[in-house]
Amino acid sequence: MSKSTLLSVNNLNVSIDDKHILHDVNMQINEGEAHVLMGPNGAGKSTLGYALMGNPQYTINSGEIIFAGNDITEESPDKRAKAGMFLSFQTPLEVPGLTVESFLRSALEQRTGKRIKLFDFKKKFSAAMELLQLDPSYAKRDLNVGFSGGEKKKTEILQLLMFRPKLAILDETDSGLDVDAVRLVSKGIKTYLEEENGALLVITHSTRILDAFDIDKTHVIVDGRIVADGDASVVDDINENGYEKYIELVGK
Amino acid sequence: MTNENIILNPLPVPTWNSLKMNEASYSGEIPAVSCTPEIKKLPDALKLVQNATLDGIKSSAGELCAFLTGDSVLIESDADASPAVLNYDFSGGKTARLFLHAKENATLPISVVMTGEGTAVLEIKIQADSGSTVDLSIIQAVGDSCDVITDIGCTCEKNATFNLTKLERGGKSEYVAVSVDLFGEHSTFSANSGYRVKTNQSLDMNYVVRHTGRKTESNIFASGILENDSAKLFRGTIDLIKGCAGAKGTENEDILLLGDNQVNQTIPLILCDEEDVEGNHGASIGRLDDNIIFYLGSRGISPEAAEDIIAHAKLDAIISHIPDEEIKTLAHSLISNSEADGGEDA
Amino acid sequence: MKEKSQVENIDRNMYDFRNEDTDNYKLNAGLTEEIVDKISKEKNDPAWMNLFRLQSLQIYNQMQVPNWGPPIDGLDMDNIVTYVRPNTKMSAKWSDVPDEIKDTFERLGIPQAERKSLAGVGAQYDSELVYHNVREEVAAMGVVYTDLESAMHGEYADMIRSHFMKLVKPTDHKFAALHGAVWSGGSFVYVPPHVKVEIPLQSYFRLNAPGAGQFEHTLIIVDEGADLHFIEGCSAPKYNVANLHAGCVELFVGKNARLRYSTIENWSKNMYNLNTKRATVEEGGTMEWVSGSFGSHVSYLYPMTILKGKNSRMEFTGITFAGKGQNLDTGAKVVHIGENTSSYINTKSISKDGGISTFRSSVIVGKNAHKSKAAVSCQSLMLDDISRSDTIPAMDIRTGDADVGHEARIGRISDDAVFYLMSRGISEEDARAMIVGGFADNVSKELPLEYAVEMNNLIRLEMKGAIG
Repeated sequence: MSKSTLLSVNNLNVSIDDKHILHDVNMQINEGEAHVLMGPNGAGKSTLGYALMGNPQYTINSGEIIFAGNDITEESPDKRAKAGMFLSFQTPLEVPGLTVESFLRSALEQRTGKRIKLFDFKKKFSAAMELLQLDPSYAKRDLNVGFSGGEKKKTEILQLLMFRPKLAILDETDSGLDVDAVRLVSKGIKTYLEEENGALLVITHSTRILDAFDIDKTHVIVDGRIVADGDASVVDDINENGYEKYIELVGK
Repeated sequence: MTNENIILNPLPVPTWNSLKMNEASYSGEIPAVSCTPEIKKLPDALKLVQNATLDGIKSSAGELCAFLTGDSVLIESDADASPAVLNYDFSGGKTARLFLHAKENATLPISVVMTGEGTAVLEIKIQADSGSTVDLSIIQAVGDSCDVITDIGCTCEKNATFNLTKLERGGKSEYVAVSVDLFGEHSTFSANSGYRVKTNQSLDMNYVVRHTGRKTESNIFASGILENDSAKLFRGTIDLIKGCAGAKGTENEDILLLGDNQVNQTIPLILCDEEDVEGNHGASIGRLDDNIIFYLGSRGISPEAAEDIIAHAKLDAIISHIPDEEIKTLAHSLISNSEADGGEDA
Repeated sequence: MKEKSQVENIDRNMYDFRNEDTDNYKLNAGLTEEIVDKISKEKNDPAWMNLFRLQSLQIYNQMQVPNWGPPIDGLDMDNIVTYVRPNTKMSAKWSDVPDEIKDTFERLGIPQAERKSLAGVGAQYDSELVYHNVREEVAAMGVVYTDLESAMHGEYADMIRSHFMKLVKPTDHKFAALHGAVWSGGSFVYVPPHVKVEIPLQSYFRLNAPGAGQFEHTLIIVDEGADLHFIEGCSAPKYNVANLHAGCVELFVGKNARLRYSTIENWSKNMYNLNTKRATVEEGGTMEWVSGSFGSHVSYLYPMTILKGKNSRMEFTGITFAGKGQNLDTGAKVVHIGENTSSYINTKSISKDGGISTFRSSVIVGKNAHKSKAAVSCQSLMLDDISRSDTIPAMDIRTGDADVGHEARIGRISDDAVFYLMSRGISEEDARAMIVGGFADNVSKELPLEYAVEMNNLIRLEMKGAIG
């Protein structure tokens, strides 16, 4: 079975406010693969997520990001999203005045460039809401305004289910969630993987959410450098022994 | 008739003259031709009287009052009425005068739609008796090159409520004066104003609320969008008069700047000579937050579309206050038509 | 701190003593070209200054009093004696100051303040600088701290000529013109590039003699990369005749320099305080104002900052306490001109016993002040229902990418808070004083300790007998 490459990150160097954070990061994700990015706090995990999505606060000093066959290193976030990339934010933004429903509809129309029939939209929307056990009243609430931490995370997964991207980057999606919420969020991710054959890059420092699917590859990042690549066994290793031996690798 | 510089919308308490915010000076015409409304809806519970007026209701429009003459319409309510709808076509330049009287415990919901090409002057004076509710929505859709002057005055007796929803769309120079006297205890006023000021247009507002009665409440919310080379001046005064113990006044402004070179002026006064009161003002002015642009961008929405979506959302929030469903739909279609894309279908 | 702690035991009358009117030199009341000329001669003005005074007088005579703000009907310029000079010449040593004047300072605690490591004391008695002492180490750093009159003739003559009333022009308003015509006394400070003055410089102004106006001029230039904290304090005895204070403060903050200007104003309660203060800030510079207004009958006071250079910033922290018979109209103004400039205006006001307090501000963000940030926050506290508190903030924003926020709140002391404190055994009076003190905390924490103590004592004095 040969899978084609979806994302390749080549020698990526990223800084914010003149502070060099990511050093020569390389990563390759094939279609349909599930990857995990692990690392201690402050290692640069979220920075990689933001850089991939094109947050203008982060400067790419050198290197390139190839996504679905195109160089998107200089592309704006919306173009990346339209190309099939999705980032779930650790702290999703509150947008007063914009309801969840009209946001999703506008975004879908923007992504596809055409009108979406209200009927089709409603169908897809209520199916996704049901799967995540979100009350229908959320549709009319302002996006993330006054949402609890769990509700915000669920709303991110709701967007994942609505947009069906090729690659979903999930940044600490399970942090701060109770057991039931983790279960629902996992279910949402599973549905995305199964129905879309989507690829996944899960950024996490815990492993609860990783029980939901099979891991193809694990990357360990320390001090802005990828220090190890491996299979699912790396996750188990970190679970048992922590990051110590990986931190030592940086010194070399 | 053309007049030499009429003073409009004076600030109740002036400040530095160099700011040029103390008042507006209007040199255009005040049309002498009366504008007769087309009555789209008038429920049985409402009574319409031609050429009747109400006295003793204050105005914050300045010198305009002296020029307001001609035909008028008085609508009275003494029961629980369903919404009325009046259309005013100001084509050719006209002045309209409308008086509303909600009698004890009655409700008076009414929508006024302003259209036409020509200078539009609209006076609305309202008397809300004890326990009554007046719901007034004004959709201003006069031509983009016309001057528009609106002068709204209201008195509220005990437990009366005045809700005002205003949607400004169009108008070369627009002046809005709103003066409310909360005389009776527990009377309330709430205003929701939404606007989109386009290139080379200007909007000048003067909201004045006087809290006289105990435990009166007012809430003014003005939310709008300023495009390239547009100008807006918001004057909002909450006057907490001695004896209005327990009163609460709040004014908030939310302004989204699209493009550049706007003149964006705000002067929110809180005057207070009563101890046991609360007065609040807040304003947030700015472009769309970069983080929001990035967040929406990560969902496939371009920065331009993001601005439009947010602009739309702001006006949608104002429109949601309109009681009449048909007018709501009309308002939605008006704000959608004024933009290139993003239309709404029912 | 021991000496200072006694302040709380005295009452307001402490500030109300006065000397016998022994001044040996007094001009006729009223303002004419002759008087201005006489002042100029007496001051030994250079020719340009003499001309400047006469031009200012002309402007003064042409201009109208403001048509906004508190009434100043009680002010009759024809009866203001514009110039009063005390019996003494400038002195650098405390022992040379005449006993009578020394006694006045003694009671205001000036020598103690000096002992508490203040850099220097330039105290003004009536219109003349009487006491002046810059600590040697500060002078050794190249810092100039002197009276303006003598500086006009010395090494810094050109610097003064090119800065004097260039920021506050006589055409600004009637009282700026008056100041230009009759200014007298005041301070000149120059901090050379990259000099950081670690200890605050201080000047203490006093106004004596019935009907005398005070028109001192403060000119401070903080050069590139330098750093200064200047403290101005005012207190005057009470008289029955209306008193006028029309001082002028001009502050020039250089590139990457920082200036903090602190004032605790406690004029006697018959004073008309029509002071003009203005600062201009170059690239990367910082201007900080700390302002407490407690005294005066009528005040018009709005320190203004012009953020000229990019990345320059200002912060204004103010408190106004309007008690019986006081109408205090205070606030701040800021003009953003440079890119990426930021301003923060944070004020508190308290009105009590029929006092009127008005917060007035203007924030102007110019066309080219891209990415600038401005925030205004004003809170007012009403302590009874015979007082008044107004808020008049204006904003004029001319660029699309500015970030401007504003919040205002007027309210009262919460009964619940008083009850809570009383339930812990605190008297109602103390509870209310504590709450007001907490309300004023933003200012007191910005002040040097001894001033914070003095300000808290002032609040406590004002709060005495607040319970009916």
